[in-house]
Amino acid sequence: MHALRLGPSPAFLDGTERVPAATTAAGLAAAATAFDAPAKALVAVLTGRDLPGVLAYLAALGLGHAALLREHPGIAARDALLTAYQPEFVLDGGTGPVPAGYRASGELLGARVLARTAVPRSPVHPELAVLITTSGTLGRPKAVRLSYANLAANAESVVTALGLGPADLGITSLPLDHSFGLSVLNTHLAVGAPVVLSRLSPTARRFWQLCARAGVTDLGAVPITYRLLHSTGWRPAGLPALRLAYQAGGPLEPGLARHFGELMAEHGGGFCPMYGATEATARMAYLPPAELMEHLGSVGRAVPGGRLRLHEPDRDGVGEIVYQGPNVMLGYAEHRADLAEGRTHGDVLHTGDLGRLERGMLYVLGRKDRQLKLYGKRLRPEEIEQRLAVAGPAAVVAAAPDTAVVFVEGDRERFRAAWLDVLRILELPAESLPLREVAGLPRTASGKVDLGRLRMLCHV
Amino acid sequence: MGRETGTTAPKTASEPRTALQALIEQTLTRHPGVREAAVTPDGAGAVVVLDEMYGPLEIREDLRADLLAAGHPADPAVLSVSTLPTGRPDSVGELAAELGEFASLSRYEPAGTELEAALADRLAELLALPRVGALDDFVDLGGDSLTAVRFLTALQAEFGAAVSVVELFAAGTVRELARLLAERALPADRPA
Repeated sequence: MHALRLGPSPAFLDGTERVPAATTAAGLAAAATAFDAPAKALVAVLTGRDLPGVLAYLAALGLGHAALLREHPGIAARDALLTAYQPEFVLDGGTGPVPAGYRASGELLGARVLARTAVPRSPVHPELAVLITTSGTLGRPKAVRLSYANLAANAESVVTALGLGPADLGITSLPLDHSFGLSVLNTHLAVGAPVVLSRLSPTARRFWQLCARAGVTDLGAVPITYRLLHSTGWRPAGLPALRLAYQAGGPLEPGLARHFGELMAEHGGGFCPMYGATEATARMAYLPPAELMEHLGSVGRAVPGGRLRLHEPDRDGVGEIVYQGPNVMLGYAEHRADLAEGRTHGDVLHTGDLGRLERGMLYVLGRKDRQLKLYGKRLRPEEIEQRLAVAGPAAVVAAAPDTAVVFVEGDRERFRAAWLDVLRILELPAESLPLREVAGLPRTASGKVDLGRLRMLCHV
Repeated sequence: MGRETGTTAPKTASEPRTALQALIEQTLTRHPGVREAAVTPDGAGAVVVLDEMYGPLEIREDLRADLLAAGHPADPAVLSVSTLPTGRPDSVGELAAELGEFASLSRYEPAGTELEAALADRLAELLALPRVGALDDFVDLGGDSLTAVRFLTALQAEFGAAVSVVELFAAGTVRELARLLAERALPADRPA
């Protein structure tokens, strides 16, 4: 059976308090006992970035189990996950009633351990290490299957790319069910660097106070965070230990890359734009801080061990970005039965992103298909259109970074209630999905909505 | 620092302290986030040196709650500095002006309009705070991007006006946000 120890001995700070090595060791041992099973099992870690959650994740990998990561899902989302993947064990906050099909079987540092009453008939493949859900906020869960080899390879690549070492101190600035967030944890543990466990958002004042107090050396954040930090005049002056800020999770405007590059350079550190995908474990490309100004707007070159190329570039040199490397996922999983599969996906990933190469550096230009990414959330326009269908025909088209126009047929007031519902469920601000009314949606000869014409309407 | 004028010249520490002054100083020094504190004679302001995990707004609110619990409904402004001035300050406002960017002043300003009051109430509810002042900064209050989205979604439903997350962070205060909202009437079709 495969198993993984990411690094020598994991060290954590719970907020500003250093977690004693004995506590960590005892927690890992308790988790190993709690998840003891005759065969390889799936452990759903639903608590997130706290000590029990992180130790449960590490213990699961150490036992050769697989971990399904999801931070504090709502009851409906949790039940959908339990039904789809039938985890043998679940770690949750322990406040609500025990879900059907499970019994409370113990506790781990204050979190609740649940065990499935009926053992699933379908096994878990020996190579499977982690399941990360990629979509299904409104619909059925779909997860990326990552192997032990995937995690180890990408951690090593990123460690080399960013020059992380045991003297660094990371912080869980992103949720662990976000591949970028999990990668921040894995990369630090891989080099024996401690990690500050925090649930705070980098947009909160207290997050930066914690970074200052703990002496955080490097951190990762997504574009919206950098936009907000820019708008509030954030400066690294109070963070003498901070040497590196990196960014992934969608395109960052070149102006902002310059802004943070200058701020961090003045501070004696660097800013590193990166490009990633859950399907490639986490990160595929990086632009070294020293080369930032020369290639502003680019996400740089492939991480060590990976290769980037463009598939069928057009006359302007624009093609689909294709990545090849040891961090490309085993495949997807929608049901428990899929967990028995080994590699169903090659090591070549067609990202669905359009890009261009300039002087060896990659520029990401947008999504090839219709899939949207708003504020770091991956959405299918079809999901939103289905929600609005109660009021009438609607079509969603990407218009700008973090913005998609919702075209509706007829009086837009009729759509308002359903539109507000969508915003609430997806936790998106109105400006990310502006409503625009048209007398009739343009359609193709076959009767399908003409998305190309709608896209042109976005810009008039 | 070091510029002395007639009004900001600090009083010497040997002058007798008022009862309120002493109570505020005592309350402040018991706070885990306060390293040192000095209070103006009228009790209207306090100068504090803070632990890096705390901000002046939090101290201001905790101080008010503690004073209220002790039977003294006072509401001192709090000025956070890196080192205490020698002697007791007369007015934190003047000291803040003198120190410029090296100090951060937090004082409670009640909502001035109905819209400001409504926004302050919503925000207090969302962040589980007893009150929010018109000049309190969203991030200082403990707001982050997730609470911002929730807050703005509620505003959209209630006021029908769209403000972006970036605009909220840039506006910072209830007063600025109210100004922004008042400028906009139902622009749901405004492409961002």
